[in-house]
Amino acid sequence: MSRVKLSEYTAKKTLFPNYQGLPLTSSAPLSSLTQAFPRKPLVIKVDEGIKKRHKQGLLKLACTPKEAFVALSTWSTLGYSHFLLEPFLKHDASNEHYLSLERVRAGWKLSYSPQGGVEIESAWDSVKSIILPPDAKTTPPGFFQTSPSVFHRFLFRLLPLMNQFHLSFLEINPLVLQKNHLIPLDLACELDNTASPLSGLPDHKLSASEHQIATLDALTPASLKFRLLNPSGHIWMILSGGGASLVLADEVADLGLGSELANYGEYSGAPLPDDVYAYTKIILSQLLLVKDSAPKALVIAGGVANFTDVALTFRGLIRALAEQMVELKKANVQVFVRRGGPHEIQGLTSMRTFLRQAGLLGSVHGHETMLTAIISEVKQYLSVNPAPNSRRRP
Amino acid sequence: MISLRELRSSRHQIIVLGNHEPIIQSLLDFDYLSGKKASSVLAILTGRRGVAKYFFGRQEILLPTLASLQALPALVSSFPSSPGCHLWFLNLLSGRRTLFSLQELSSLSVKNLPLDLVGGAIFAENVPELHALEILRAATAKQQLVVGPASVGLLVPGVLKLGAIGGITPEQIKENQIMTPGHFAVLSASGGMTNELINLVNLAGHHLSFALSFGGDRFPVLSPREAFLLAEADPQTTAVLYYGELGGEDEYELVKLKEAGLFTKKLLAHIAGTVTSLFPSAPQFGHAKAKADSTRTTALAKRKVLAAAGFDVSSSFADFIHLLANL
Repeated sequence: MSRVKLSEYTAKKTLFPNYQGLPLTSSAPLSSLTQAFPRKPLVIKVDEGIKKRHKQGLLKLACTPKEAFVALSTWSTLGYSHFLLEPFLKHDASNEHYLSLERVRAGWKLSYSPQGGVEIESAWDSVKSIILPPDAKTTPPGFFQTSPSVFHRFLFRLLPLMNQFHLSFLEINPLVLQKNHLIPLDLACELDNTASPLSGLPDHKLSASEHQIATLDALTPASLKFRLLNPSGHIWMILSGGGASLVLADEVADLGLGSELANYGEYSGAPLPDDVYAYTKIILSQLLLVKDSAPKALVIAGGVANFTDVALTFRGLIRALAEQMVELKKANVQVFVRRGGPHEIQGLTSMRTFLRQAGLLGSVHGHETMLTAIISEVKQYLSVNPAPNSRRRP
Repeated sequence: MISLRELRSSRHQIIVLGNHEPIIQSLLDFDYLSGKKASSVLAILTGRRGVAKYFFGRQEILLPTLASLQALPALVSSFPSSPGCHLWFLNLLSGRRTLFSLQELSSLSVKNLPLDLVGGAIFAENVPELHALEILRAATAKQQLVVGPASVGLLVPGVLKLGAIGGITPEQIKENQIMTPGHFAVLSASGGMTNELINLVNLAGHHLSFALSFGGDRFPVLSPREAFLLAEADPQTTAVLYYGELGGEDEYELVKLKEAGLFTKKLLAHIAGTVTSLFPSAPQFGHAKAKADSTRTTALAKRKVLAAAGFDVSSSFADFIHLLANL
């Protein structure tokens, strides 16, 4: 798939064998905070891959266990659920450095500034970047001006671990230099989750339907993606292909229908009819939760497939639609289809026949119709009997 | 790296790693419909030694299948290839097996000479970044033309079909007219959109000079930059249709090429991903590279920079078709 964020706890535990932090959830009792690092001042922070925690008040420094517990409880009521407790390190702000590593085509992009800390954005000019080849054993002279040997030891111990665990990005800010040691205070890390044994954080809180589809996706060699954008939207999409799905979603936004777009997602990589059936079923149940009587459009669309069999995948789609055809009709749903590829005519013909019989036919098009033309049809359909504004989410 | 001019004047043989019958049959259908005398598929690595039945036109033929790649040298020696015949791989294995299979392939030798591969295509998504970079370094050292990972392949009309590109049924191949050479190149980050663009070229009454998908991964072996240079150097190509997405800096590379006078041909681009504005935070789309980490790599920023450099850039997909009609 792609790069995903790691929790700070997992990243530190993976990269620094002596790391002492304690991961906590919302239900952590006060006692677990008091017993963790006795008599030491503490740091508590939200650990959900969020940037600029300090500026958002999601990080509290030099606090007592009780104060940390209060912060944790407050953040829990805001919807956060994962936290990290660490002993507070007293240090001089002038010892705060910035270091980041990103895997790039030519090796590693290494960025460094001796002026790390929360104000790094305003000191961005002080950040120097170089590309290290994958087999680099050293950095150019003068790149690390203070304690270069300490930084080298730190850096060249990290790089093999980054490879071993397929980590693609690491940002440490601040990185504190104290008594010839480098201590990472706050850290962000991304993982190439195609290969790693570590598990990453989702990029947002998953809804129930998103969670179901993520589970389904993990069980099939094909790709099934679903993101719920607006549960009360009136445009629902079952799209195929990573590129075509993007072009179709762009068109919805470009035609000013963004607020009506309920979801984004795609299936690709020749899924079996059963996969498509299960995928469609989950999306339809989410669609049928929209309780207003306004017309709703279900867009089943994709490019001209190279190898995904249209007739086969449509078999799964039709089965799921048929199971819910009465409810869909009642919910004022019409289905708009555009698809091309292997066995296109068979697939489109069965779809058209089914939709007509079920009273759900918006339109059905093949490869000769422009990819995004159905979005204009959807706009037309929705505007004839527009959704009541009061039901729309802002 | 082999040029398109040289590619068109050579004959080609393909070693297929992995068993995907419809794709393999489509290579044979393409050969047959292009008027070739014989199939370009040399052997298929299936994990089982024997033969597999395929059709060349209406005639049933048997293609050798291999239990392991170690059996390949003997097979290659028994088919003495004439000069000017190029050897390609088509890797249809899963993402985890891609690197190891290619390492094994490149370790083989025939009569004490390493197997002389000019390039290949990698189909799998989910090739780990580190593996893709190793494949990239090996291919660069050997100057091979390798498309992928996550690529539907490389297509040179009438000459070479390396992958599912252009379709897998005889109907698709005929309808897309991918046997007939023309003057428009299609370069795309997405497999599905490669075929969508091939379809558009055909509907607009034109033919392809070549088409390829570099794939939507972070580290495509053949970079978009190199693909643009291939198109520039190809005397048959008069215009390039390019499909790109949010994420990555490839469009800035293209602008640099133009400014340096290294890319001078007509180029029509569609950069997808304006829908991002509807999301509260930068989302990850279907392709691994499709995530805008900064405003610089959003679809809108990249459209703007391409247009400023003098390329034809569409504001919507309908606009792309409109601009294509005027090419």
